[in-house]
Amino acid sequence: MSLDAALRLTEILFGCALIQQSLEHLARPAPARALYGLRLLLALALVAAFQTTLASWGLLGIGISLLRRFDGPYNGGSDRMGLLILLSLALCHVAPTPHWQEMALGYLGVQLLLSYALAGWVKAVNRDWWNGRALADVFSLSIYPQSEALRALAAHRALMTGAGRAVVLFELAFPLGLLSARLLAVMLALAAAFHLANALLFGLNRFLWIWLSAFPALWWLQWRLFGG
Amino acid sequence: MRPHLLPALLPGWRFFDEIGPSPRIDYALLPTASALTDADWQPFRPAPLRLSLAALLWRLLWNPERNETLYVLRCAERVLEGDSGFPVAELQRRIDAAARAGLLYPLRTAPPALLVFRVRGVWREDKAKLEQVAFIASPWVPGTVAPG
Repeated sequence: MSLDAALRLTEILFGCALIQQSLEHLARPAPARALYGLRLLLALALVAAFQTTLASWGLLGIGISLLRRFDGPYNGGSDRMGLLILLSLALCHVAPTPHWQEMALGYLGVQLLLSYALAGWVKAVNRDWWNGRALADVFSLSIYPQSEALRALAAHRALMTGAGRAVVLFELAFPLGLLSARLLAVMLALAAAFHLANALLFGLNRFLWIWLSAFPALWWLQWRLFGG
Repeated sequence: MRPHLLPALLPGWRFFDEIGPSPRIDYALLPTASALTDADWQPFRPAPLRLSLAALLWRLLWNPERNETLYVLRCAERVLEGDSGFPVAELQRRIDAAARAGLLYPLRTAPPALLVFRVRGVWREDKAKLEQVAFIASPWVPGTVAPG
């Protein structure tokens, strides 16, 4: 995948994710409606490839304003990844040479890789992620299950142990995807399934769409470093 | 600007490294401030009991209330962590807005004299589920908090 193709695909996927988020905010009596309205327009411009430099810098400015309004990210990690994508896109559009464009998109690819590898490492050193207790606590105690009925899954100890171990091993193994395009395709498919499960069980739909929109950067980075 | 940008651009990616105390938000309607000790606490924005598969799938595309709830609960988590500034004010704004929208009591009836909220922490120790009230707000007259 060429740099231009990866950039364009990122813009389209990320723009769609921002359109979805902005519509959700505008449907609620939430504060900062004017900012979300403007963000919707700029995200549409990004998808339509209209004034993409202006759109990406404008969206980055809005992202920073929203950080201030909500005293931090509104939706945690998905907002953080969103800002990283915006920063990479914005820098790509003003980079003086293709080399610096590659550095900007490469940074996003590396951060995507780290988002799995580091999350896997911090779980791997916690015994409770290997014996099922951590995942059982997520289901039984945390704020995340979308319905009370889903909390009953915590009682299935074998399921919690197996799923917890699978998450840790998948996240730790994710960087191996850099070794070949075929392996990366498998890792990205697993990652998409992982985010889909999180979205269905925990209502983290924004994570799903935002993380998917960062995939092209890693796909390009693998090709750039290892040639596919 | 407060130091939010740097963690956003250099994230730690420590998702679920440990499962700490989980926040719960309750509200109560009070006739007087002295009624706080006997308050009838109700959960604020409780999760639905069940969701069909179709509802779960639809929520992949459209989940505004849930995302708002996650934000509100993140504010409560910050209160559990000892932050009594912005998150407390934001929770009060959100709960007051819910009262104005008729989500806490019928708007046609006489409004309660006061509204109050609290934040509880829920966690596990060995096999026991424990909880503790970490914060109780000062009661206020519903509808008097300026929206953010």
